[in-house]
Amino acid sequence: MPKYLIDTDTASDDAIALIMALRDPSCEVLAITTVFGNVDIETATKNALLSIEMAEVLPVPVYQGMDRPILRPRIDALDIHGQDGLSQQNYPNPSLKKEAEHALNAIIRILRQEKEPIRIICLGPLTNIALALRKAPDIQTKIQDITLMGGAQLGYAGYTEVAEFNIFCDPEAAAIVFNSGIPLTMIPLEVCSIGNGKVEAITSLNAKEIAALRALHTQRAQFAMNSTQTLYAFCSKLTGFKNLQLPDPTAITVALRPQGILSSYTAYVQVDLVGPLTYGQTVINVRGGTALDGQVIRHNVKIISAIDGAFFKAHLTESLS
Amino acid sequence: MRTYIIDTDTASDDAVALILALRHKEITVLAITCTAGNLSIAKTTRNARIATELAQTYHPPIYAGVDRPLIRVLSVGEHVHGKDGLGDMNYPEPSLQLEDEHAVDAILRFARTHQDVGIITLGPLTNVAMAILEDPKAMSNITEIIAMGGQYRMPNGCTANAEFNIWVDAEAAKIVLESGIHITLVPLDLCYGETEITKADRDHLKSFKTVRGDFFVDCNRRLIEYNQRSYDKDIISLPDPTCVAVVLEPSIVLHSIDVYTRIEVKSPLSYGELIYDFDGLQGQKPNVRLITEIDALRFKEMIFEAAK
Amino acid sequence: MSEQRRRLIIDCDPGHDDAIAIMMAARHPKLELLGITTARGNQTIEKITKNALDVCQVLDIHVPVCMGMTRPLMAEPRLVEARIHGETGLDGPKFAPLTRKVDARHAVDFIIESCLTSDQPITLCPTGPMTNIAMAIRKEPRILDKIEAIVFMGGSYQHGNVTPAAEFNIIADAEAAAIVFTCGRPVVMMGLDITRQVLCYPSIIERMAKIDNKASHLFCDLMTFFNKTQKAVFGWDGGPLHDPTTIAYLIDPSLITTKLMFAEVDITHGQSYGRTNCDIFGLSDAQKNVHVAMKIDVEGFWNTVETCIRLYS
Repeated sequence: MPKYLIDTDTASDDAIALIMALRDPSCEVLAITTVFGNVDIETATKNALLSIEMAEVLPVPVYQGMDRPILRPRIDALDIHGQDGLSQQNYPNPSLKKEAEHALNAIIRILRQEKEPIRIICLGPLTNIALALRKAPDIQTKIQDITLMGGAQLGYAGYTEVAEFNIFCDPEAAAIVFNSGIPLTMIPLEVCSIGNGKVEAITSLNAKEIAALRALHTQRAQFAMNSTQTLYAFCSKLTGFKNLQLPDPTAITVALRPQGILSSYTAYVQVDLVGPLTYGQTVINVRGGTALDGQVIRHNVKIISAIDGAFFKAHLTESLS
Repeated sequence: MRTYIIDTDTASDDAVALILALRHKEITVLAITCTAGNLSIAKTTRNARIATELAQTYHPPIYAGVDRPLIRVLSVGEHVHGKDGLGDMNYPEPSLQLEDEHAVDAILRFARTHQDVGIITLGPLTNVAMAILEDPKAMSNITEIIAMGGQYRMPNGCTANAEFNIWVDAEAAKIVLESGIHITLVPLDLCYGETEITKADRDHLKSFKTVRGDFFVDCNRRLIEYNQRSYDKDIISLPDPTCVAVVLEPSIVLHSIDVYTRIEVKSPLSYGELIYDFDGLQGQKPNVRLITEIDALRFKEMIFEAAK
Repeated sequence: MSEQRRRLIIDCDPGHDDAIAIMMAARHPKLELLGITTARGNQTIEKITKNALDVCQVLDIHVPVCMGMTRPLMAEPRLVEARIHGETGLDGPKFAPLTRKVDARHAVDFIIESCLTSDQPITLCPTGPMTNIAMAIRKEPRILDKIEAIVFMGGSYQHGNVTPAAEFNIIADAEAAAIVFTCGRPVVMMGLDITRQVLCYPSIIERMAKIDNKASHLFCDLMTFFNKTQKAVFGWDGGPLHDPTTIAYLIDPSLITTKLMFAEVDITHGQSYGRTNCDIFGLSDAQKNVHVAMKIDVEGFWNTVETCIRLYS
């Protein structure tokens, strides 16, 4: 059974993603590490612990990680997910507790301990992974691959005109990960909303689908739909029609059930650290050979361009049942 | 009658665009100003003269302009269009001559003396930027600039995120974007997809057995090889003609977006990338009308008509 | 006036002048050296760490030596430059076979642990690239409350020594330096501006040789080699003794005149990458954050070096 580390800046869609991973029989989650991002680090940790409780599985250790980016000032997405990251539902404090060990040390220790390489899923800024790689470069060979929700293709973005939130939170960390040589699978943000423009690639939920999940009448399903209310309102306002986009959960489907991938392509992805207008942009080069500036182009990322909407929703429903 | 200056770094698709413009009754081409880009200024001016003769209609004056970008070193596209820019067909030396006046001076003179003149740009924006820098007041008389350039959502036009015309001189593009002149942008995306000139289209052009029909296909033969190498497609892509088509028949535009647009000039990775503020993050008024879809069928008809 | 010794950790890439800084700090009654952490600088981290252990062994210094980051945060590690420091990074002296062992703790964790558990503030003394310091600050921001000051060798308010703009320690990891410059704690910069004034002429070596103890032998062996390479590469008759200026400052702050000003590290990826832009004239109204060394009492400095060597008799 493949083993996973999940790194998360736990807000509403991260919480659902965690539940999906924890409840998937094919997946052994060794640890959850938290990072700043959507919310501050304390809230990310609290929400991760809450998600584990909601998942109703044997507890998995939670290690708290970096509270800010390597260089740039911290930003957050409280207006998208709510002040507590979970649409302010006043959940009671989790009774589960985080571990004492810092996430950086835990990532290094766990990877060194395991005999076989581990898969990593990143749902937030890449700060923990980047600094763990810097602190202990030897762990690189123990990482089988990293599946990350983040980045955007040309002409799309979100947080700035050209940069997506997870990458923009810490572009330097993202650059470290993208240049590392570790096999990467990237799910750009727009793939989680409009997919490739075709109906079968739509992974966002409409009002009917949200109601159907609520009708499962499990605590998990209520938690999932209640926690994403602010996100639902945000997405609906942004697009002009009612929809709930769930980027992080799609990363779980992509990692755990790759048959849900409709299309993908490989590319050479670099993170722009200079800008100023393009700081934090994922620059995607699909060509091979040598670029105009003499740089040799080596594809380092598999980019998911479309996900099977129905398949994803079935996976989601299964997890929340 | 709508009047335009056409500024061009004449290689193969520019030549087709020039012929399209000259032969169409809707507009008058006041002048052709040449810049470097696809090729050196010596070659672009030569090709502009060849194309003008091939149009077999009136001859606007042709001016040579700035021979290199404002700041950066010139990068040419001989690997796209051929060493002569016209598919290495070795067309004979044209008899039409260049004017003595510098293109930038000519642009400014027309801007000062004419009421209603627009500029169609088919190459890097160096000439236009120089004119704006020299006399912004005169240039504010220009009614509009319709530029072939930039990327919308199509990557790898030239570098990963930038299209060639803009990338060759992004500083010039920045000056034009910030000038206050109304800009219509016809991005590279529009010449791929349904507007691609397929083998069948090329056979159709050749079936006319006209000088122009043959020219449209032959001068683009290196471009066919380029598209094969870069995109694995047996096609001629005609970006500059899509831009001229938008001017000649505005109804050909099926969809456009008015958007505040800036350009990245500092980042080595993203130099020349157009940054569109679709979500209004900057709170600025739109400065660009971005064309995102045109009637491909009508476009091809216009090409065929110009070839006959 | 408190008689408590000033606690410090030296973060270094030995390095001839780093070695002398260690020598000076380890025995001076005003200072309490808690440990030595190594950073990848002039040589590979393995060689640098061995050099630190060699120095501790020959001088009988018993503090933890912890190995640190093997590469800078963002930039590629600079090519090993053996021209100044030799193949080992500490060519010159002949060291006995090494019996000392490196501490099991990672430099970053050692710095964090020391700061968090100390009942007294700690001064950090980076004399190489500041990668370890930056990592520690980022990983555990609570250490900032326990940091008395960061007194570092690096930068220049004038020209650099690697590029026209940048000095070696800063350009080796400019992002790490930027993190230190903006950390909010007092930062004291011993830049090339003053270190270029303390040239170790042959006369200085002769003077220290007369002391004739293990520290003076080490000093002379190191500086004889160092002067040879500095002469060959830069044409100096005496090599500048960069790193010990930090320790001299801690022992006797009156030796060095500093000016508090706004200073920032250029990390904008242009030609001046790695420059320490020091606002000497106060042209901007940004918060003053760095005490930049402007002048050094050269004679006083050498007297202090001599005093420290004599402590090993």
